[in-house]
Amino acid sequence: MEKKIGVYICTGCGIGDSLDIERLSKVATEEFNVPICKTHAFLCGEEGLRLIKEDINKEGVNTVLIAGCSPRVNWDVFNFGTNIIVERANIREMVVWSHPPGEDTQELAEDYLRMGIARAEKVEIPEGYMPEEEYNKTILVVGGGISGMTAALEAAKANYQVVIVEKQAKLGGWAAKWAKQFPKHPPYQMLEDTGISSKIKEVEANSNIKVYTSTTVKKVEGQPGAFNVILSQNGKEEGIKVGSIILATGWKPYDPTRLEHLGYGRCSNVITNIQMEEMAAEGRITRPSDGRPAESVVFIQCAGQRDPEHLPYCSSVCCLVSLKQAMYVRERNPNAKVYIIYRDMRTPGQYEMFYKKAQDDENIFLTKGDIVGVTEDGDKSVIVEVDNTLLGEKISIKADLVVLATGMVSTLEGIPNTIEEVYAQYGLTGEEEVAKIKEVIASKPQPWEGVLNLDYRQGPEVPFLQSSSLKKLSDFPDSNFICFPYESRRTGIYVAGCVRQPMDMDAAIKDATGAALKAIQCMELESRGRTVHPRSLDLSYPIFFLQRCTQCKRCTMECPFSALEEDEKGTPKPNLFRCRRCGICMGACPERIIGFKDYNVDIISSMIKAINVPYEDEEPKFRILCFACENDAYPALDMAGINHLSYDVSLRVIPVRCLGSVNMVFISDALSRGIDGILLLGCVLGDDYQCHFVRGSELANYRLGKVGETLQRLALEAERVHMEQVTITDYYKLPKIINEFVEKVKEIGANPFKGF
Amino acid sequence: MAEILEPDVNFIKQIRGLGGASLKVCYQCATCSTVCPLSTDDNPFPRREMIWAQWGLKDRLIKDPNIWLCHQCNDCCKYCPRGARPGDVMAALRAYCISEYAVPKFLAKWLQDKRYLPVLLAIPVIWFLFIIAVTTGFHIPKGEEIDLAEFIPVIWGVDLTFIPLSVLVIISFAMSISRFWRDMKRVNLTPEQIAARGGWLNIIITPIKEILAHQRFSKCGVKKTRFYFHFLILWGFVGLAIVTALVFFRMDILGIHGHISMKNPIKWLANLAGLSLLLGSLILLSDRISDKETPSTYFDWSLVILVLSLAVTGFLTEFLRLGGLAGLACFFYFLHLVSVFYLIAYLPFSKLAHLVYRTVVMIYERYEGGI
Repeated sequence: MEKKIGVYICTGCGIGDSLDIERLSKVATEEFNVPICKTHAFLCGEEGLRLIKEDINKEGVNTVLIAGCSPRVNWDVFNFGTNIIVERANIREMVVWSHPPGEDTQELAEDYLRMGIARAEKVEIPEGYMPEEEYNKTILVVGGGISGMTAALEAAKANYQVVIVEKQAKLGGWAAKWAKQFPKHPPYQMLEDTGISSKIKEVEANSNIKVYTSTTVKKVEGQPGAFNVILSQNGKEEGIKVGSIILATGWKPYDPTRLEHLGYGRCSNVITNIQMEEMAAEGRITRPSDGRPAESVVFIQCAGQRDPEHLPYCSSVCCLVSLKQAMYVRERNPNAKVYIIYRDMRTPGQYEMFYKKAQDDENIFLTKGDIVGVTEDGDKSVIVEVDNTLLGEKISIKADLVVLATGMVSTLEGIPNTIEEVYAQYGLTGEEEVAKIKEVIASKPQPWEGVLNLDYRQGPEVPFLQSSSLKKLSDFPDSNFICFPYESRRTGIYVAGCVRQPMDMDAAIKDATGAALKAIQCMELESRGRTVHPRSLDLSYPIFFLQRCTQCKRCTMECPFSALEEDEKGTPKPNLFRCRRCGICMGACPERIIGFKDYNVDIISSMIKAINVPYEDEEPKFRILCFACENDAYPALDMAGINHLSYDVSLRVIPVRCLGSVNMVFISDALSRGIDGILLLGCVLGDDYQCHFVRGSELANYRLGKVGETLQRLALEAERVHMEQVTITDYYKLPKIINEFVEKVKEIGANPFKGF
Repeated sequence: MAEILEPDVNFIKQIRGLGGASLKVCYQCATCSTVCPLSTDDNPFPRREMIWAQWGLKDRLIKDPNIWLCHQCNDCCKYCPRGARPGDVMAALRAYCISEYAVPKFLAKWLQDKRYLPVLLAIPVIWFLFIIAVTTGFHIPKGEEIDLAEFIPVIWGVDLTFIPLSVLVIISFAMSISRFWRDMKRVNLTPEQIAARGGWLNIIITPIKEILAHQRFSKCGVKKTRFYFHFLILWGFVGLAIVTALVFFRMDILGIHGHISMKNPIKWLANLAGLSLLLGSLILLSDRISDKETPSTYFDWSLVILVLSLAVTGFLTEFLRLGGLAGLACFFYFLHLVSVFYLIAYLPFSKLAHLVYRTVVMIYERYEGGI
């Protein structure tokens, strides 16, 4: 496409008062020979827009550069159709609103205009990645419990075809085994029926849902819109094709045999809450030792939970389960006494009313306390010894029955989910030759029973949360618990219910509904050539110039979403429907052969080169380059401008999709151009990461650790490059962060490459 | 191994019935202990008493001096986030404690159960009717100066009724309190330690001075009115007790009979004390009626009504006597004597027993802690 660039400088919002607009225009007209450069006091108004549209229609302008407000605002106003490229130079928030008028500010505005024009010259219109074959829109739900059935019903109601795969012979999962569930209706005091049987009937009656029971998933290969799934039903295999997957395999109880210190296995009348529930469902509450009705029952909360030796977390439901089971005891026996020994009663939301109701029962006794002994008496009664009680003393309780409130463990626990763990299962290290690895793996049956058994380069299951050193931090799938809980690190695979986090039935229903929506969104967006969360609607996709690939495998290993498979030699094979367009592969590639039509190494490098680095002056003028993540750091910089917070005027900001997309070549490019320092602003990394692409800022941090050598070769100080983690609400901290970094660079001194 | 706990569910039920209905919902946040002036670091009152009550630990509670040190200022009830009303639970515990230590116990049960009210009233009514019948034969006095002794002779109706009654009450209290003291006592002081606390006299006198001055009531946050009515009623009773003693002296020692002149300072004191009692009981009544949050049991109401009836019947008798309405004066004098009988005879079993229990605990407090 032959480009005709039109530059439009807005002088509204204080821009005209702070800057010499004529001088700014000359940057476009004289330095870059842009054919059209106009100024207007109110570009986003009707008259301003008419001015641009006239140029598009009469002058043939097809690339519009607006110098004015941030690209984060008015993006809908400055939309001139799919054929017109619109670029923005942010001279409002990042120039006039955050710096006082003067020569330095004028130079800053000019640099933003230069970077904008450089970008406008290179950007191409992305056309979207369209599927080669028809995009399949069937949803596979793995797990037929409350979460799985809810997800299936919700999707089926939206008229999608759903396949439920359930390992057990019947639908219903754990909920089908429960006698009652917690109160869900005002006044939140009475136990309710689980309603699971009517849900099973509803699923079975729905013509959009196909149910496979006694079935497991043997293998999943391909990508969203084209997942090839092999199901195994009683040894019989069947291949189906689906578009997206909802993982709802739920939970398993914590292994009580590890709770011998609480009497399990040692005392015949110590049982778990699961056993208690099963007994209650059968309509009796008796001592296992002699079948006599239990007259006194002790519940021990947090059994094997919130304990570094066992489960480090709280399963969130056990307090309510014990209160519920206390009600069972009380309903059956008006004289029975129930004791609940807790660490903290956790009854969130309206369940507080239920807690209060249970407490109000004269025969239910609660205290905080530490269990110091569980022993068996002569008549098989259990003596529970409790210390640090609220009664102010150490107490002993004689019980007919002791119930351990054990926690929930994800069904993914214990299953290898990284390729390294898979190798370890086969006694391999991964260092062996590819053919050898394949041979060993093919030679024996899979030593574990997987859940999804993904045929993905990075491992067979959705990844768990990992620390910076790739150490596994939990047995739950990695997702952002607050912002996007149903996402997994495998595009098109959404996780719902207790497989991702312990929760009660109510929460699981909400979770499953959310996951069903995400699965639908994914299929609808991708089948239209657009990407999924968090760059929803983006039409661009990575293009690989594979002729120059050196098979270094960095992109295939570093992609957080395992979007890239490898051929035998190690050349990446992109599965673009698994891709989320973060550009982490682009940042990883040492050959710089990965890029997007509107975001690539050439574009960024051109922007860096467009920055004017003055060198004649005796007093050197510093130039600091800042790569700011579009998700949090760039908005935070905008907010600093909106709040008129001032920071060092030498900073030039280039927005990036993710810090993980920053290729180290940008660093050397910038430093060899005479830029004095480089500041990377990205999301929080580590255990509580906030990176929208999970590992982007982590990888950027890792790569910066390695860039030191390159800098030394250039005889430059490693301190000239610095990374900071900021959240969107950290905007008020930015002036301090920026100014401190600039001060540090100034202490080191000007870049000796200036002027070369 | 620690002692095996066996909660007393019956005890919990009784406490709930005595005005502590909300006790089970306490979730031990200790907001009450934070606001309670009695609470210290190693004595989280009333938080710990609340869980003892929830667990039905009767033995720990009945001998717990803390429940008696509580003046029910109800700051805890105001701030309790759970509506567990610790202050009311403490009041219920006190009521339970009175019946637990009462000698004989059945009388305490009767006092807490409105079904026995007719019986309790019948006793003095029948007694006085009997006295009147055998002495004056329902003779209504006549003349300008009405002498009520002509209706009920002082020697029979007052002296020979109330002196033996008081002796019985003292014996009852002595038996109750000695058991209570033994149960409550956690330390045994040596004579040197007692001397260090200023001797028994000081241990006993100081708390009584404190009670008369109402020092603890003046610390109450939520219920300022408690200070006023309690002060007025207590001093009313003190004044009337003095008057009674003086009249007894004048009549039975000096042998001066007949009604005391209105100009006599003894009469001034009697009227002043009566007024104090009337005013105090009226404030108490209006406080009980206007306070919709605090549950008022029969046990509470019976004391309010009793104090009020004492004052009202007393004054009515006086005014009617001075106004020359002999018949009515006799009638109210009769009612007044019944009220006084009710007050004195049932003192160790009614809510008014706190007069003794609380004083004893405050003495114990000084004995143990030397505060």
